[in-house]
Amino acid sequence: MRLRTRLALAFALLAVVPLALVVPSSFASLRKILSEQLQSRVQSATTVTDTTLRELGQSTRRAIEELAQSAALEELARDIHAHATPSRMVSTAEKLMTSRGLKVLSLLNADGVTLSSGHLPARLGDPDPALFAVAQSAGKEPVAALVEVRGEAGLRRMPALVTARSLDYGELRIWVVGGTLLDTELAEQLSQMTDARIEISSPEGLAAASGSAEPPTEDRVFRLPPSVEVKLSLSKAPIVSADKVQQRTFAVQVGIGLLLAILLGLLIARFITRPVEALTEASRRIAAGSFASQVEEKASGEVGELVRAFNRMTGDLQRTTEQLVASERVAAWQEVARRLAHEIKNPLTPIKMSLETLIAASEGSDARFRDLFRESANAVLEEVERLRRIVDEFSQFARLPKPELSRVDLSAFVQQVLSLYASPRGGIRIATELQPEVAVQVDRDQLTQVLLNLIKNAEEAVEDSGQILLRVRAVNQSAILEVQDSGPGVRPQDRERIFEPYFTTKQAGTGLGLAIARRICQEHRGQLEVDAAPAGGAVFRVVLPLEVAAGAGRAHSA
Amino acid sequence: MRVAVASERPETDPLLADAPVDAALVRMTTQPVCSLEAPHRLRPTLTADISVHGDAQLVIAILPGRKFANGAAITARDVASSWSRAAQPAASSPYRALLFPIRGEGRRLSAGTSSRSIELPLSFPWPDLATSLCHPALGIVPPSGPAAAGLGPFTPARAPGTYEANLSFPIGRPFADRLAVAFTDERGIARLWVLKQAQIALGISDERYSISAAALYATYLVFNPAKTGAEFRQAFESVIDHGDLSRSFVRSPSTPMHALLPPSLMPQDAPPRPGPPAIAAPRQLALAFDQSLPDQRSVAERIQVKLHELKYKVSLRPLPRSKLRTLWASGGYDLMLHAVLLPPTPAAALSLAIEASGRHELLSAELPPLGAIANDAERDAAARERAKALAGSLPSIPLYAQALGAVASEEIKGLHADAQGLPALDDAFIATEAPP
Amino acid sequence: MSPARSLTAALLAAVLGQSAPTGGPSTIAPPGSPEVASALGQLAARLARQVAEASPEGPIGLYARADSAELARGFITLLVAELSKAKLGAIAVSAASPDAAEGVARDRGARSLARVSLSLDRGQLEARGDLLSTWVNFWSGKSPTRAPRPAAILQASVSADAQALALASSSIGVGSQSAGGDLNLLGATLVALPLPPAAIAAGDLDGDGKDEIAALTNDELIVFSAEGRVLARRDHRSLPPSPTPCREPFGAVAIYGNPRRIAYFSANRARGEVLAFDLARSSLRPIEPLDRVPLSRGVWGTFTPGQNTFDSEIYFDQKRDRYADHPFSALSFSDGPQSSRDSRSDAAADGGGSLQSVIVFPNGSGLWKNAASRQNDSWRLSGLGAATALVDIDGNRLPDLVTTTALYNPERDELRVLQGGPIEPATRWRGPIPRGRALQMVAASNGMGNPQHVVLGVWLPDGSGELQVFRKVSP
Repeated sequence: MRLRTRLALAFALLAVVPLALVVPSSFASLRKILSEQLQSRVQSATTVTDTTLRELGQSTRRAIEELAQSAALEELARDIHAHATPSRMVSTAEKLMTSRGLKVLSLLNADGVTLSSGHLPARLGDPDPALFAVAQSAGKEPVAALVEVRGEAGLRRMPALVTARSLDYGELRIWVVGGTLLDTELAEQLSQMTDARIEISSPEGLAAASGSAEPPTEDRVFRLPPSVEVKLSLSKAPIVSADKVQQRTFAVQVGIGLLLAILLGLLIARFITRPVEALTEASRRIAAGSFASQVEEKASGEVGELVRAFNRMTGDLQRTTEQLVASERVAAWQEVARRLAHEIKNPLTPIKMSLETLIAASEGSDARFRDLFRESANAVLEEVERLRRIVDEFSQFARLPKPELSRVDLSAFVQQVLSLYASPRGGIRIATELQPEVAVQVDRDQLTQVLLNLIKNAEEAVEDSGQILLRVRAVNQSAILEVQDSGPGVRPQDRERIFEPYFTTKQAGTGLGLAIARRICQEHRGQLEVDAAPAGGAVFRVVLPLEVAAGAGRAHSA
Repeated sequence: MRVAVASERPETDPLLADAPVDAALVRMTTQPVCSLEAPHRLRPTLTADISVHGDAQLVIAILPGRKFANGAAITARDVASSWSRAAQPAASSPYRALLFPIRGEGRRLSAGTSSRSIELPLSFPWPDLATSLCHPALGIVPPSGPAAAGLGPFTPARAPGTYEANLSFPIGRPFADRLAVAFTDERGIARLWVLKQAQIALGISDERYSISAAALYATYLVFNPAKTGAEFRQAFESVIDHGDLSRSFVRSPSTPMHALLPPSLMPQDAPPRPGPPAIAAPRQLALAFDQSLPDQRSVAERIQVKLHELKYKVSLRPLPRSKLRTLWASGGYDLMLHAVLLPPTPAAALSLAIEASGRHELLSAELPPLGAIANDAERDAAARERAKALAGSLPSIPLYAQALGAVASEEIKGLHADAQGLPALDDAFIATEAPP
Repeated sequence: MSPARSLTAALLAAVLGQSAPTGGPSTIAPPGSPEVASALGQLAARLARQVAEASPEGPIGLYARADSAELARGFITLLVAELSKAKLGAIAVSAASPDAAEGVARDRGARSLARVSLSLDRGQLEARGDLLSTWVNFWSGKSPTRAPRPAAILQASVSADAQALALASSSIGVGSQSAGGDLNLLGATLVALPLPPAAIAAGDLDGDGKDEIAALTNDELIVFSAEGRVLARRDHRSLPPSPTPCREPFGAVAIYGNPRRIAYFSANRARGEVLAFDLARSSLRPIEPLDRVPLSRGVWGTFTPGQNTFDSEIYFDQKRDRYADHPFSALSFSDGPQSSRDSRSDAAADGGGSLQSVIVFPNGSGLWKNAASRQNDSWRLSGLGAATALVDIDGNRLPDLVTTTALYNPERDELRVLQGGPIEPATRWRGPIPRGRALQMVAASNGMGNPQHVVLGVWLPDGSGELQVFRKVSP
């Protein structure tokens, strides 16, 4: 993994780890706080409801007691005692009821027959067993009872908190039974006060409800004797959702934090590692052979020192390399010159001898002068020819003309060359493995020269019997032309030296053939290599850039 | 004269103003062509004469020079259009039964050849038509509609609640120059009475009435047998006591009704109350009633409560009177409390009772035989017989009849009720002692 | 509300309490038919019935005592006739006193005795008395005892009519002076009307010296003779109705002119008429229509729309005069010596004599104007009743102010005579009227020089009316 990535990851981790440590604990404490809050809300709601219901009962009791002792009722009793005027009684209880803020009021006589009803005026004259039962029961406290109230859609039975008192007027007894309805209004009031859901239910079902509480809920139930329940429900959903929200927020925050950390880390890493990478790149370049690479990056601190040292080193290296190259070149020239001098010197000796002979011969009028002259002249001519040849080859080596490139199909070329130039001595077999359609951009003549050189060398290597294999193939982007012989091969320590000028293991030959061939190949941006053949001989490989399409090689210049 | 009225707001349309208080008020400004002094004796207000020609035509000749309060002359066309208002289907008025004997059922009444007389061709002889025309619902309204004052002894003045004497009232202007009417409730009336700020109070339910008015404002419970079931009448009668209803839930003066016509028109024999029938399945019914009458609300609630015991689930539908009439005319009700002001003649009252039950088609079968009897007393008796016979078959249950309760302070003289049970405020005057 | 209206309308209510007395006067009969039994006859019949019921032993002696001998004698005659119808013989007994009558009857052989005293009071002719047996058991010892039978109280009363009144008052002496003496009037019903009278007038139409009475109702104008016989009728229902009619019957009638004309205008009609009386044909012939209201001879006015009063501006012929300052309900002129004058304005212009006038306002106040003097002297009066007139009731040529009760709601209406001129009138006589409420009053005379009598237009609670007559009788 790259340094940058590692650094970035490290940064990210650095950012995340503290968060990861902090978050669960704060979650836990938040949850604790919320649930404590819920509990306290439940508690206060319970208290409020309880108090309200109790107060309701009290105020009902007070109102009924007051009513039972009031002057209005006394007057009413007197009225009834004197003469009942029934049509006036229809609305009597209703007026008394509303003026005292009650919702249920019935005036019953001693037999339980309604004298007037405030919540259901039409009940006048009928017995009311439910409320009469309340009246008959001895308790002073308000109880819950089911009363019938009117609605536009018909009659409904609603629970109500009622109590009863009696008034005796002579032998006339009037029961005053009344209270408040446990209806939607009460439920709404309680719900608003407690901010919870209130459900009032009687044995006949749900009578009133108000407020809402999403499940899951926390419930409390208040019982109003004998049979009415008030249920208080507080929703735990806020806690749950708060939890979720927290989680989500934290996750989001963590995510964002992580992202930021990564980004930041990447940036910082990059900042840090850029000089390092530049160094790495420069090193790679140097390894690839370009010695002139300097690292441009500015950096500070140790890395900066490193960069500076590197640059210095590469500078030194470059200089040294140049020096080396220069001295190599000089050395190479020196070597070439030495070789050349040596080569040239060689023919010069016979020339000198021949001439000396001549001189000697010409002075002594020797009958064999003419033959000697002719022999000596031939010998000189031969040596001059040899000298000419050496010089030619040398100049050929020294001054290779610019290649004129053209598209050449290697396989066809090889066959041409084979057919035109080479006539192998007997005993030498020439085989070909030619892959078609392998095209290169070469100077045909120069390549011919190279090929001929190689074939000659291969012939010389196998001497009289052997096989020479010519192979043409395309591998990746390169076209490969191989000349393989079944000769003795080339010793490993000579493999590089044979391409030097004037290095030869042969008796004949100038020693420039392979150097020229290599030069030609290099001029064609290719290579000439030597390898050991699997059967023991040598294989000389020409690697040239493959021309992939017509015109692809034209962009390149030699 | 100061009048205190137990009513919220006056109805000005004579077709809709049939509750006793409303009718008494409308009578001040919009009256029919005649008024009834006794069930068969009418006093023409507008016309010189209401005569029946043969058996087939009623001709009414309007005396010339009669004007509305705003000065426009009263033409025969005004009178005819005032009557045909009651017969229009759009009005949905049960009082169209009063015009039933007229050919075309009174829908298209046209003035006669002269602009001062109206000829009413009759489909069959009906001697009570003249007295039927004295019904307050057939008050003469001006062409602009019932909102303006029609033919009446008073006209509304600019100040609300004040009425000025109409000098051009055909039988002479009223004795009072001006009436100041206060619209309030019973308690307000009591207060005004004690402070001596009102001299006449209408619509009270005290016992000390100054005038004895006939109880002719009859309330029926009309029902739709298809929706209530055939056993509804028995169920109703088994739980509701008419006497209790009239005594306890309706403001007096009121009397229970057991027969199709109220006690002042025919003797009532109260049959024994039946037992409750077996009810197959609980029914859901809607009871429509007039929201402007608190009596009907009390009665409707009572019915709701009592029928609840028999598994009828009754919901209440209060409606304004005009909507109630429309509902009645369309027949789309389950139960409805329908109150009509009956005329004091039994035959005409019977026609109205049949119409109010929603059985308009029975009129053509029932009325001609009654109209064929020329003698008043015999016709009345025959009408009573028919009322007794029809009572069980009509989809209506008579409940109670109310009259107008009115008191006047001692200084008010001349206040009396006509045969329709309505007081003539124009005959009333304040009698004070002159200095000797 | 103006008191006049309440006054006139209080009639109906006020008299609701009064029970209509039994019996009735003579009703209007169409001309030519025999008259129904007179009051005296009815009284006699009743009494005869009572006598017969007691089954006395005949013959029955009849003793009657009354204020006037003619009345008593007339009654006895009728009673005898009635009793003979019942197959009871009767003889008249005249004695000085009822106690003496017993002896006289016994002497004359009557077995029973009916002693009756007659009185004409408050319009009722009443007979009271007893029926006893004259037979005395002389053998019963020291004090003779009577037979138990017959023993009965006789009592009957009928409404007096003109005939009875005439009989009762026939002892009026012509020309008797009333100054210083007691004044006494007696009233009775003259004739019944189908509708309440809206206006009345008196005048001599046929030239016999006795004033005929014209009474206007809502439907017609009827002319009666002085005795109450119908002379002519005129139905005015064909006249166009008034745009602002009056609720009660109201109008005006005047008799004037030579030849005599009757002008009338009913408040429920748009116009009035002038009629000529044709005695031979017993008809009233219309001469011309009228658009002014005839208040009196030569005096014209207008109705207050819708009310039973006249507007305060009146016209003496053509001259307009603001005679009164408010609308008034009645106007009465006294006849001066120049009563044959056709026009009051002439009389006024002449400055002649004692032409006085009284105007009555609806609230009971009034104005006495000396119409003759130029200065238009006037005196305020108060406490006048609805029916008021200047009548020379005692024949002394001086007008007396006769009026009815000033109360709005009395139990019974009464007639009052105030004498002494406008400044300090004093009540000389007051007495109840037979029944109903009197709303109109005119003075009628039986000839020049005789005291005038008072004719009242009376409204009855049953919706009809009648004319009543009050005369001076000897005290």
